Amino acid sequence: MHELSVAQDMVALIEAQLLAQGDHRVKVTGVHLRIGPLAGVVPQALRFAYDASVAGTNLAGSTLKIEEVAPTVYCGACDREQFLASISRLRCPVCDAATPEIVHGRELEVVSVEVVDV
Amino acid sequence: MSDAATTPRIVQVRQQILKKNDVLARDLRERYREAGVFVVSLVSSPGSGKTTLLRDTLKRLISTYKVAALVGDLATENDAKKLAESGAPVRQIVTGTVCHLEAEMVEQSFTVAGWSLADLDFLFIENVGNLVCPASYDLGEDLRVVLLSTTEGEDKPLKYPTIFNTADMAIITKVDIADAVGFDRATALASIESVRPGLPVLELSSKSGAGMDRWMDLLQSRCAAKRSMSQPTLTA
Repeated sequence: MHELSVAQDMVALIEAQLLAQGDHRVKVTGVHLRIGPLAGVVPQALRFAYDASVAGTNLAGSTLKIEEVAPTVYCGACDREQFLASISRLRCPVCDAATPEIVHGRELEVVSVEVVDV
Repeated sequence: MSDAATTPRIVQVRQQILKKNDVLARDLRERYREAGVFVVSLVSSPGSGKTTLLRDTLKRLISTYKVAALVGDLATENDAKKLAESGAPVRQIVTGTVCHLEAEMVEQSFTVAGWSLADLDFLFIENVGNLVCPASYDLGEDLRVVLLSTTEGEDKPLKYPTIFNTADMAIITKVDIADAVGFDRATALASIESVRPGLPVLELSSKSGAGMDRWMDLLQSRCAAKRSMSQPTLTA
């Protein structure tokens, strides 16, 4: 639903970043995103929105790779990070303590882009 | 052109996509802080009792505080009319097809209304009835409250973890008919605790008034706390 505007914001971020790095004379051939389950973005919906959003930009025709982030919490009792099976139950899988502190799972991150010089 | 020039290379970015909304929400948060206004947003599914609770909240606050409210709906001004029964300034945001409020809509609304944030103690924002999309849209509020009524089913939080996870507190509404609908309070509280351990929960009924005093106390103390944090510290 709002994945279209997220995709547009992503394009703007990438273009700004490439400009800042002095890389604006490139064509983007791939985008690597990390999306966590608490980011409020559905990866499939973002895929749908992607092609429409990159049309007419120098990301047109690029491949989108989405890495879905496994939710990770910090367990104070175990004093370590633990992977969670689901965000519906924020309890340590080892000792069952409540684990409200989310270390990974909210990501909506552009990890990297693949470019070719033009 | 040589092969080297057309060989793809990886450019690290490692940046969170900060949506335009999030940037504006940050600005609004700062404006609210400078103006000393305590901003509360209400989210829930349609029919949980947001408007009734807000109307009664406004009625109880208006004799002592300067309050105003914004309410979002796809269509009609019905909620604004109901909230206006409190005597507080109210504005309806008609979103058309948009299923959630965004920071820009909020800013436009109070700006067009000509409200001076510095003159307000409380600004309430009632979101469009929707447990999904509002989770992704920061409105710059100080307190985001998710409502769950006793008629909705105890596993609602498990079905909508993101909105419960991103709220600052939950209110269980319509406790006056809990028995009539067979509401399982322990299971509901356990569901909330499961998706967001430690989320503060209030239980109340706008209709009977049960729990409303605690809600008022919470609002007033949070508002006072925000104010005292913004006071410049005096040095001897």
